[in-house]
Amino acid sequence: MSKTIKQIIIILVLSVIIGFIVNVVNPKGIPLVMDMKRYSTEQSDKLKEDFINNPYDTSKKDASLMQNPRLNKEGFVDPQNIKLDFAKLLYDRKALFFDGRKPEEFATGHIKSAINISYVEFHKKSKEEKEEMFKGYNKNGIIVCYCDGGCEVSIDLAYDIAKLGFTSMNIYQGGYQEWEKAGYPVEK
Amino acid sequence: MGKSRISGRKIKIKTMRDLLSNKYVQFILRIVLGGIFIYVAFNKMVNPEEFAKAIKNYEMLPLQLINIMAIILPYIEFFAGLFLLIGFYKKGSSAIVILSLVMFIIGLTSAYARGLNIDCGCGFTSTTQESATKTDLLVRIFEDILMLICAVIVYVFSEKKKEPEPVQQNENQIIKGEI
Repeated sequence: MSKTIKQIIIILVLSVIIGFIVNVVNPKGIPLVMDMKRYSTEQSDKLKEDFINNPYDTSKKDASLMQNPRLNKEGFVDPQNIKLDFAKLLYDRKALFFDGRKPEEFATGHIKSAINISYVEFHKKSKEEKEEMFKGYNKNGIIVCYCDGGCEVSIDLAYDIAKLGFTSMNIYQGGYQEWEKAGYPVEK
Repeated sequence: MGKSRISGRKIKIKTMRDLLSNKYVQFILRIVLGGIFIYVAFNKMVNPEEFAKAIKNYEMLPLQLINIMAIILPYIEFFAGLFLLIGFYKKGSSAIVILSLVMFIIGLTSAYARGLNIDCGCGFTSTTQESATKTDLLVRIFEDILMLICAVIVYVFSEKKKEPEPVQQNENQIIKGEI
């Protein structure tokens, strides 16, 4: 075996061992497998079906999309990942759409009537400031967060808002790119 | 005429090789590359969750492998950078740096081509949640190509091949009775 390959193997083995040990000790350590729930859109069709069978006017301020919102271990209701078709249905029912991108990106084009809540700015705010910001909103109302598509800010924004006690957070990961491609209403 | 041109080129190549394998040039390249790799690795080690998200944004790995990569990759970069910096396992560490940079360049170019809006988790200025624009991606690809060139120079010229000493050769030949 050549000297270089031996050295590469030694460095790799050392990195794997130290990496795993530090991850176990590190309070910010992560599980070996990523939380699929955060990205999975498997539930989208079922959610859409439930929504169609149980018509709900998103403009009403006193009802929740979910019949029994279930709190997770951390004490908030997990946001749901939804696909384009369900996002459009919620849009038609006047659900609130939050765009998590930066204002300059929002200005280049966004889903019609969406509200820009730049996650870069939002995540810097204290919990009190965030609560103050969402004071006027119905905590049970349907909210859909999106960003450009294939980005994380929509997910992070939805989770942050859910942690404030909002029970019907949805993440539309297809984002602005997919929405615009589908020919659905946009504003520029 | 022709001979002198060839020998002139040989001298130039030799001078270039001497320059690139010069211990001070090698030392500076190792310090710069090693320093960058340690710095970038440290950013990723501090917050593995954010780094995992950055990897996920490339949409190139199955979700099951992302966290394992996020746990191991920063340490590979760290040890490769550290070893380069201290001049230990120069061949192996520079080879790892080359492989990592090739991997980053492929990832970034693919993200650029697909129009992905990502936080690449790869540059000096990389901060989590700040999505990278197309120009940022091009800058990062350019940074990585520059670093790749430096890493290749370290890999190829880090260990100067010893030229056979003519005196010794003559002695050997004398022993063999060739002279």
